[in-house]
Amino acid sequence: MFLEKLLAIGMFPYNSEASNTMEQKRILMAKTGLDGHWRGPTIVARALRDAGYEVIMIGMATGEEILRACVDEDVDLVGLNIGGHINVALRAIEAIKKERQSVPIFAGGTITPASARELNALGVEVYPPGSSLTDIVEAADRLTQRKQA
Amino acid sequence: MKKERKYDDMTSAAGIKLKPFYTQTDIPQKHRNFVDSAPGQAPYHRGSHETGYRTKPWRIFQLSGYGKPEDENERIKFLLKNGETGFIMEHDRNTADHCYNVDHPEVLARREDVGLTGAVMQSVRDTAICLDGLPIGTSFGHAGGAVVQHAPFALAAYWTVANRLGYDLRKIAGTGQSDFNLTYLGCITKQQIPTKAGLRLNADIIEFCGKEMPRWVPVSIAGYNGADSGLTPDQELGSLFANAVEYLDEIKKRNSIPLELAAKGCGGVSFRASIRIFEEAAKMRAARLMWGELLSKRYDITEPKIANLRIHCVTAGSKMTYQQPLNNIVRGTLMALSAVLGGVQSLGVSGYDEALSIPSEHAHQMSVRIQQILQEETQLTAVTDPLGGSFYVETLTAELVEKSWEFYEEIQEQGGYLACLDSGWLHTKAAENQHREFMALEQGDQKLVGVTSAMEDISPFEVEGFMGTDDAFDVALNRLNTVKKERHESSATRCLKELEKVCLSENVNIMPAMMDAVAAEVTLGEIGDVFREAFGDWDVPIQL
Amino acid sequence: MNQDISDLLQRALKDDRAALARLLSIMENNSVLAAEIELSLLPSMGKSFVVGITGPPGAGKSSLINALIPIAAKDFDRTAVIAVDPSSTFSQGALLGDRVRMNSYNHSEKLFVRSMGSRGNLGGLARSTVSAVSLFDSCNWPLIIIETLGIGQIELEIAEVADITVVVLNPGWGDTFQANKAGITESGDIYVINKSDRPGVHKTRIELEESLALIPHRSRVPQIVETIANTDTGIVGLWHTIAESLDSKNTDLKQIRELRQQQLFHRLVSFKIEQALGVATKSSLWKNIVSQNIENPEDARDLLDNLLLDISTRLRNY
Repeated sequence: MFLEKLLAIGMFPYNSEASNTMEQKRILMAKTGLDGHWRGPTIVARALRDAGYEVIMIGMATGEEILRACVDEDVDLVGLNIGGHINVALRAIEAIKKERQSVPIFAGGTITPASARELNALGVEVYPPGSSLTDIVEAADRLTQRKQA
Repeated sequence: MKKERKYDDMTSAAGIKLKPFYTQTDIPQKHRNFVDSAPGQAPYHRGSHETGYRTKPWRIFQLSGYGKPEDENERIKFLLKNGETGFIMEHDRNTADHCYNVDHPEVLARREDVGLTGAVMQSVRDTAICLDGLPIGTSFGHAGGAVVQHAPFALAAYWTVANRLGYDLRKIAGTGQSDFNLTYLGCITKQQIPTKAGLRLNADIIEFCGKEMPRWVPVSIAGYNGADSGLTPDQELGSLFANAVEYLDEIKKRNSIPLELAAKGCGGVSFRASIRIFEEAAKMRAARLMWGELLSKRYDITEPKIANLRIHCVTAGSKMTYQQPLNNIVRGTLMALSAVLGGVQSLGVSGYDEALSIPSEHAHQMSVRIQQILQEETQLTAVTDPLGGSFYVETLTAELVEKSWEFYEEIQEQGGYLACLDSGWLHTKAAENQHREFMALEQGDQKLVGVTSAMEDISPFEVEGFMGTDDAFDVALNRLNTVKKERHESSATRCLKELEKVCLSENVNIMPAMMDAVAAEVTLGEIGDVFREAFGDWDVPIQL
Repeated sequence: MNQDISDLLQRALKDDRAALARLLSIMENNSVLAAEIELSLLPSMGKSFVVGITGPPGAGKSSLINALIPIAAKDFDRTAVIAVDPSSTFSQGALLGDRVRMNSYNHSEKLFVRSMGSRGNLGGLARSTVSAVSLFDSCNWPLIIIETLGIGQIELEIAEVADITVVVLNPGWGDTFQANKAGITESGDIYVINKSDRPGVHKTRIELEESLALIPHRSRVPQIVETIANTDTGIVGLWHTIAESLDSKNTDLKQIRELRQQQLFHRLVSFKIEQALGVATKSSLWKNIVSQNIENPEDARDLLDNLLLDISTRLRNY
């Protein structure tokens, strides 16, 4: 009963129209391969954290595990670190797209130019080694449609 | 007002402030006494022996391997034909690093990744294929087993094959590395045994080699893996010696082989050669000086043959760029130069396509060519320690020694090298450095040609990266099934049981049982299961 | 909006994981709304056990939970884990990495792991953690484990939420956490010395026993269990201890439920007052009143009464 009333007088932060509280966006970061280089992903995760994101890191994970985390953690964006063969990543992407169509995906890691083109064609943005953190954070803002503070 | 240059440009990677020029008085007093020493004599910083590369050129030693054992065999033969003078058998990361067979669920989920970084070798049969026709008796061989939990299997398989081919194990030379930095600091595996169990395995290998294989380098601590994970040069040195002390103290405690043998075994190490040329060269010089000091002070070992550190060097893979990859040929050359100026015994140059994939055949050939040009055309090999006596380099060497000992002491205060891996203290250090390095690039304080500046690329060559073969997984799975079907099952079972028993007992060397198991065609994944059961899993101290 | 939430609720109650996950996010983004949702869940709540696991960073809490889950599965059909980590005070962002270590049941439908940033809340929990517990409870997750960071007094908060609080420490604890010993020893029902293969375990046990003995008014003396999570050593024993504790509380289930209900109402009412106050203080009436010139104590008393009257009117009108 008072729920409606609160909404009516604009007191409810969840009523986004009337609210100025920022919804916290959540990003899942996973590695598709069994290759444990953590330099790159850690730097990116820290940058996203410092940009105000909650970054859920699950390390090396299979497509199934990534999907499970994507659903249970209700994330707004998935970041994949691709360390090996593109097909392994494609399987994970396919699994996410099948069940969570609306969740955008971006990728980084040692990705050959040919594989990068393949990923782009699927709507997955690719940030190869040497990409700037500013660009990556901007991409996250854009993909999660986060309002700039 | 004149714009002042960024202070950071004038500070070395180890944080040493560089002066515009150096004079004799800059060399610290203690070190000034060392300047006039000859190579091969204490304090050893000037090189391993007087005639240096004149009599013994550095070994051209390239990381190599992918696909099936026969693919790897072919690539190694290609490299040897092109001028490589030792060979490295790289094992597949998915299976080897984790001690999984290809039918493990974690591997099945990534079947296309199998064989991408090295050949799949699950039983002694696979190792035999990979070693077919290779110069085991005359070359220094790297048997694979870079990873601690994998080394006992990889070494036993290599030795078993060598033995069957008629080689005397007392005479063959090589290493398996078995390095903690690689998977406990650098590329942390999904699952691996705790450091304490790892120390036991490495000490077992040192002990076994001390008794049976005098020419083998039982473990080779890889400063490279620390450095390429973010440790600065002084931290790379400090942590390496802190690691060596863990081994030597353990062997001393066991008192089963002369400590000198173990010290000789631990004295074959690897470092990273990065791009700041003089600092890197000084690092190699500092390393030799420190090893001599450590052995004499802590263990009272002064015999030059033992106190003289032998260094393998690999150029910094992380310095190779994804953008404009041909620039990496220049970077590889300069980094190799720093290693050679530092007087290393062995060298691998990263492929120009390093940031994209494992090396293509052409990238591999270029890595060998770079070294051949340095050896044959530049006269770099004529004079030992060409930087000796330079006010700058001698000062830098002395300062690195000092800073590195400080870091070594910090590690000791934290309970030693392995405790620092367990607590994540080293990881934190590495991550802080990486972050600083990355921010310097991001904010433009450090330039990276082709990436943050000079971005126009008119190269007509597109470097596509090398993706190996498609059939590594299928063939490996077939071979796994075949070996399990064809082997003498009861002896395999018996050997596995015995291995399990040895793992669970505290004071028995694991290697004889491992040799028996491998000879009985017990497979890698079965051995991994025994390890996991007996030792448990390492608790990763950081967020991945 | 309202309709959306009740749709999600209905789906979540019918075991739709995605709906449950979405609701958790909604709760996290708005702790008042979370409490409202909780209110509507009251009839279906009170069926689950809540185990709090707390301790200093690096003690091995996640690994311990990972080892416990398969064993707990014998007594509890499914397990939900809420892992709370501190958010950055600068950016409000957070690195949530506990999930990495909870891989023993990754493929199973019977485990639901949810990572939470504390989002500025002190005390080890996020503001909406309790609401999340109620949601899991209502959605038939019979065992709910909350993992939080605890280094001192703050984990008292988890002790209020959990039926059983397990405090995880390591050998050498006494040297490192000298100053916070009191806080940590007040909150636990069970104490685990994890990584008990490390030196100093005996000393730590004695120190712990001494600290625990100093605390009066305990209905039950807390048990101390030694484990090595990464080799599964002592885990079965730990689970027995937890299960026994839960069993003995089982008879008090009605009491626990009452307590939770009480806490919820308390929470909700204070949220409401907080909110009403927030709006009220911005009103011209309030601005007018608080800036008046006060000449004697009676005037002050009158003004305060006016303010309280205004607040109660506002609250009544909701």
